[in-house]
Amino acid sequence: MGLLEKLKDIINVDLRGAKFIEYKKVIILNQPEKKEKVVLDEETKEISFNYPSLQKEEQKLLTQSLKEEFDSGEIKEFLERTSEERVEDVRQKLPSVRNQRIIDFYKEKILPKHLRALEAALYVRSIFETGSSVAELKKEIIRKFGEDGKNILNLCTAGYFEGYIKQVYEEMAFSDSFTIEKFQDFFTIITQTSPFAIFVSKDMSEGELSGEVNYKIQTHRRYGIKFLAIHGIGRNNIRKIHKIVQELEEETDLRVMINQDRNVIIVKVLF
Amino acid sequence: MKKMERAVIFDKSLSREVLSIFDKTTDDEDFIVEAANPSQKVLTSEGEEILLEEFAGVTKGSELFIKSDITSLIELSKRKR
Repeated sequence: MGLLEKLKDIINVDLRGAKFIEYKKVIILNQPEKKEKVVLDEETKEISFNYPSLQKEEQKLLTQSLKEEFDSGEIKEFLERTSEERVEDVRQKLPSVRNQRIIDFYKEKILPKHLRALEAALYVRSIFETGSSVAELKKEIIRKFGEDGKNILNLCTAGYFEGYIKQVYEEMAFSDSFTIEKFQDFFTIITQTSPFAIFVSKDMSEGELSGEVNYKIQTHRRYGIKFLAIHGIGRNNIRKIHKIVQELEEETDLRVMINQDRNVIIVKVLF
Repeated sequence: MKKMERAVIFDKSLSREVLSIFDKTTDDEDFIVEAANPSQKVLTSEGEEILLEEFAGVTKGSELFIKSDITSLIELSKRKR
């Protein structure tokens, strides 16, 4: 006996004809202000139950029926509404051609934990590019992956995975002594320290930014890295970066390239 | 003919009711636990404990409990492709 047939016996509502609907979703609502127990939507193939409107016995029979259908495989999942919406959004945004190209490139090359963080970062970037807030999602990724997650997020937003990091892999892969472990070691350093880029945040003071820039330039020179990128979003961060640029331009052995588009700035320091 | 698989979608405020369907409840710290053995915390497939606030649902694979953080939901979306 299907769920609808059972429900006709369980709940005292007229479900005549409803058994012909091939429903896809059962929605359990919590709307105490509404009296209606059940709403059938033939167009969306959804049945909505307003849980507080059901009698105790009806609630019990409904949940028992749903559990039986889950156990028999008729129902594949129970999902909280906002999580279901998020999953649907991920299914639309993450497999875009641009994202999939990056995932396909890195999936056999980096550690599984880094790939998971990269996938999450690509999804966050897709939302960021629509102009929506990503602060909570970023916090979730940083909570899960720590400093690695933070750096992967920043590097992803700044386009390093389709740019510089990919180029490094292609350079390394030319070497006779290349192994995937060597690239994974490089990738781990990148994600732990984000050595070639500084992402200026609102919490970073001018003094801290200046110290970070000078420290990284010195370190890069020691390791033969020829550039440092400074990224900033927002008026205050851009102002701080311009001040540093003035200092850097006074040094004769550095070349500074500024790329600013309204509220986004990238400064490349070459040495 | 392929059997249609259905989903149950629930309001967050009904999380406790959904947990009780699966014989689960929460402990003093709001972690999801076995109703019959409250010292036994329910774990995700990655071995993580789940707070009621983080509960995203249950999916087949006997009973897999899902957290609502973005990486868990990405994994779930891949299984649905």
